[in-house]
Amino acid sequence: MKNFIKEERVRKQLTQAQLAELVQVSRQTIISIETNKYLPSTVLALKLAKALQQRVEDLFELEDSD
Amino acid sequence: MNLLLPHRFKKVGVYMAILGITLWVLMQRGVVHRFLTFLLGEDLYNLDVPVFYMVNVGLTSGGFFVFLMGVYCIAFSKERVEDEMIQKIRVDSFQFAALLQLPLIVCGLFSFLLPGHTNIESEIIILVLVSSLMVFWFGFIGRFNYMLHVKLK
Repeated sequence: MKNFIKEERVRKQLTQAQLAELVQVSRQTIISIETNKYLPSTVLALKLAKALQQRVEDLFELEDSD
Repeated sequence: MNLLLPHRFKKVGVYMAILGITLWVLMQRGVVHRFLTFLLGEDLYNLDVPVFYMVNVGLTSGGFFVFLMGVYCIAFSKERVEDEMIQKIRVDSFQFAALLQLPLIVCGLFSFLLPGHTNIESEIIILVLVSSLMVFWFGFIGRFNYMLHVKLK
């Protein structure tokens, strides 16, 4: 699954630490999500969407391999 | 149900593990025994005296117990931010450690079937069971930290 968390975070001028604090996870979790090493749960995906003021489907995109 | 210890126990666990393993190694190598013999003299300090024998056994097993408790504290203390990714890594590491331990437990069970009951066979059984304990803890801690600090970074 592809995600656009990093692009949206940079667009909103948020640091990884700030976004992590907004969604109450560690900075490492944000790094892992941005580098596609960790797939967040539905709850975390919704929290990220809320924090970045985007829809979940705009932040996450299915790939052919999914 | 959350059985994890607060984060501060991680540091406590490191100190306990180091202290425990140091004491255990010193006892195994007979350093404490030699030191006490030197300090109190052979006439007073003798392992044939039940009190000193119990102290010796108590310190050896106590050192190992403190080490095990320290390792438990390291393995089951919360991270600074205990989020869903950490929990997932924890479960994954637990499975990994259990799988590593399984062959040793099977070997331990089979070693009970060895014919005769000599000291060597008893030592083999104890060695296999202690190894299975160690493999679980170190497998868990190793996998957890590898996933957290290397693979998912």
